[in-house]
Amino acid sequence: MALIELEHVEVHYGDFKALDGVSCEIDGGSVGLLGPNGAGKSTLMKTLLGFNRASTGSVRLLGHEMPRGALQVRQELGYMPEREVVSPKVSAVSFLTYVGQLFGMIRVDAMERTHEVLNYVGLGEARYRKMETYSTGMLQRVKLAQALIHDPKLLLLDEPTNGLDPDGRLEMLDLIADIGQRRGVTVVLSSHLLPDVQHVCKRVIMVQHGRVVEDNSIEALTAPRDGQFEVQVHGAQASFLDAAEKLGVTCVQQRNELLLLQVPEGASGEVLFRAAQEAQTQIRHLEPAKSSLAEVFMEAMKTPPTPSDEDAA
Amino acid sequence: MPVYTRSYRNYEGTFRRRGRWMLIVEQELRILVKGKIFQFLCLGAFLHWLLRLFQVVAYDVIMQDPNHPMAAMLQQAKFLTVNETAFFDFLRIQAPMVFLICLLAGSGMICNDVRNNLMEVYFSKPITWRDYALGKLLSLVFVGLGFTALPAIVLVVIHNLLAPGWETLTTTIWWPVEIAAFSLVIVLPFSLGILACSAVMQSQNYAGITAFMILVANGVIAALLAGFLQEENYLLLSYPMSLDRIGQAIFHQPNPVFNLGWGWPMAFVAMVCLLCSVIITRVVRRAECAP
Amino acid sequence: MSTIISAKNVSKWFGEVVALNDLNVEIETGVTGLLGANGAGKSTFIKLALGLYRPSRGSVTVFGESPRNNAAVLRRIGYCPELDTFYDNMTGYEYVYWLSRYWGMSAKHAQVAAEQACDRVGMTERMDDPIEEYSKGMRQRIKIAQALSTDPDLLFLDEPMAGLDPQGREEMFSLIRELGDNGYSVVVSSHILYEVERVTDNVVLLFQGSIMAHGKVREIRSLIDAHPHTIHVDCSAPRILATHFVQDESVLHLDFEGESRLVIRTKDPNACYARINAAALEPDVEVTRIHCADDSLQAVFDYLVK
Repeated sequence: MALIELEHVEVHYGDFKALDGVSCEIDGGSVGLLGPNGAGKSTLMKTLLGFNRASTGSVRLLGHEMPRGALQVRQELGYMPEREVVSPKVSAVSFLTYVGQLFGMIRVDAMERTHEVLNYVGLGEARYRKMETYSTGMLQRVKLAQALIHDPKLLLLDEPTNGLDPDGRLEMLDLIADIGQRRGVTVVLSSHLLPDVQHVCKRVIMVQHGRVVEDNSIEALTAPRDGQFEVQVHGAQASFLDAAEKLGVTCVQQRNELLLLQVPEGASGEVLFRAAQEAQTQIRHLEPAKSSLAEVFMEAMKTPPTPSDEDAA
Repeated sequence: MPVYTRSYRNYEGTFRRRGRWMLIVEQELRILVKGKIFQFLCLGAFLHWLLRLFQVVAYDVIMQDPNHPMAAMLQQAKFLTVNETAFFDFLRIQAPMVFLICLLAGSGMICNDVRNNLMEVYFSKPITWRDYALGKLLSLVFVGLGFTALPAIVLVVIHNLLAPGWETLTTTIWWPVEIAAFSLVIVLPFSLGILACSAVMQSQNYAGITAFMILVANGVIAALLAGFLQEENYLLLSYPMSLDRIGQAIFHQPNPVFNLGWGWPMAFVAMVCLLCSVIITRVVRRAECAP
Repeated sequence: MSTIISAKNVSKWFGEVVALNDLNVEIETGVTGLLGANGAGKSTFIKLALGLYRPSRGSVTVFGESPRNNAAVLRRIGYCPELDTFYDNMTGYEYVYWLSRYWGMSAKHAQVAAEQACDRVGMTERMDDPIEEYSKGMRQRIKIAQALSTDPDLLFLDEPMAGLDPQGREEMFSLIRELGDNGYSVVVSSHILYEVERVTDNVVLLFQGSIMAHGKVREIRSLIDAHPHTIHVDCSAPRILATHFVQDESVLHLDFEGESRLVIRTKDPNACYARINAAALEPDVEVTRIHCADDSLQAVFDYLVK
């Protein structure tokens, strides 16, 4: 029995089919949820939270049938919404204690947990000030804290790095990665920032037109292409390419200083170093070429809508 | 002893499953009492109550004591008598203050939550829309009753303590019931009304202004109608007048503002309550499933 | 390459808070990234360049003149702010149209300009729907359309990618690069450093109200010589590879990550690369990956800020 089980789920908003036969299973680990705006990502999240009723198919979370079991599921689920959340006239401590009590904790327990969780997300003395004085970064941390306070088994995060500056983004991503790996919490991360998803998640589910178009581990999707390498040399690029061609290497693509080279069948990257030596230059960047998640995503998004979509549209 | 890494520990405490609405009431009240305006209004209400306390003391202690120097002077003042009318008057005068308090506390209750995206926070927790709506409503009702029924009943008790005896008891035995009933009729529709405005409007200020204007407009239009058509029964349509009429019925007052039986104004009040409840329910349930 | 924005000894304070502290910078044509943490002074700088603030000290000139109350200069600037407030019941098209009219265009001209701008950002289908029905990404596009409609020479884009899905982001990158290639000047302010890298090499880094660095990312990196370079090498025998470096005095640090990675921190990257290349030709070492962790904007930023 997986943590999240969706089987042929369809969700309608009036006439519009927001989810069209979505099936997937999530049982631990960190999963990225990707898709263009309007593809059904938020609908999927809302369905997992029990806000939407599936018109067909079944949704089971933590063993409970949704949306009937929504209340029990929410006990063990943490949700970090996309939009900014603030309770202006109270402090973070007060707010989080309240949230803890909403989960059913007694006040004293809630207060203790509040401080523990605020330490974890990195909110210091500011926790005693009113939330209306907080910066975006602090509010994001409080948002994460309110999702973690009850020690959930499942965490749903919607654009967690919104509005954070470069430092804040990295800290947030590291926190999320830590939660997923060390705390053993299942994380579902919905984001438009593909490198962020790559940083944190091991698996991605791509959604488009209300359907799952890709559901695989990132490693499998971005498998290296056989015999292709990304290369950058230090100067003397032309002579390097000549030398390489003499050794049977073909140049697939050239973008400014970045070369995409294909070594001959059976050869290894060593042939590139030989070419470099020949051209009296150094290879400064060498990377087995693999599709980036962005490329895989763009490719997957090219899936045309099926006739059933066009009927509804 | 295990060494804890710098990470949060698993929560090993318990979770209770009791009505969450109590929690919402507590939180709203906690936020409310911090406000300066609320404290000021409390002071105002308290002063009024203090005056009534003097009235009770004056009537029960001073006027009954023939040797007291002020007794003679006070005997002239009929309005100091402690009877049903006194409590009716007390509640009538407190009513506008209750309206203001509801306005202050309640106009932002739902619309601020929507603006600050707290609805998503609330409804991703194990609470139902009933908990939420009930919690918000009851916090206003408790405050309202704290300004009306509670101080009035305390006065009744003090009256009984200062003038003890079977006679006082039998005269005043029904007063707490009347007080509670009239207080509820004052407080509940106001609370529902303000919450409904808060649910529908986009901002706290608009919600407050709307509620206020509806009340004013309602009173003015009804008065104009009654004036033009020379028919005082049209005053039924004025909400404040209807409240008055109900109060007069409950407290057995002579000379009602209009001749219709109290059933009509009660129906009016009930309709207002129903309408507001429907509005609040719809908005809150919609927020629960919001995209 | 000519200078578009020039700031000389600019300081700006609000009461006791100093937002910009004796700033000197010249921004040239093309695409420039404006980077910094929250509170570093980015928005203050942009607002000074837009003439919305007056410098407390020093001067800011755009196209050679002060932008404050200067219609000639302001006509040539387009601004896409970060804030997301609109007249919600206006349609997207109306919003762009009226802002163009307000700028001074005739009705006909504004009509064409608005339609073209909406088309450029891919909003033609939805431009007649009220803005309150738009998703975040669409609102973002309308903001950009509004900035583009008057065909400005200088564009300020504050977090232009916010709320856009990956496809939208890619389109935005191409749009910005295209604008840069076509002779427009664009100043992009963003927190997401790897995205800024996609659109430009030129960056201005602000920190606590002062400029920390300005120029091409690579050049900045090469100027920070004090910091050693970190080079990752994946190979079949990292420990054997390491023996090549142990005796080199310019190598400060050798780290083994996992089974196949050697991380070298060195003061002399040149010599280090030479050794790696030489070692790769030896039979017992097969090098599959060489990666300098410092070339990214994030690394430069980290060095400078921490």
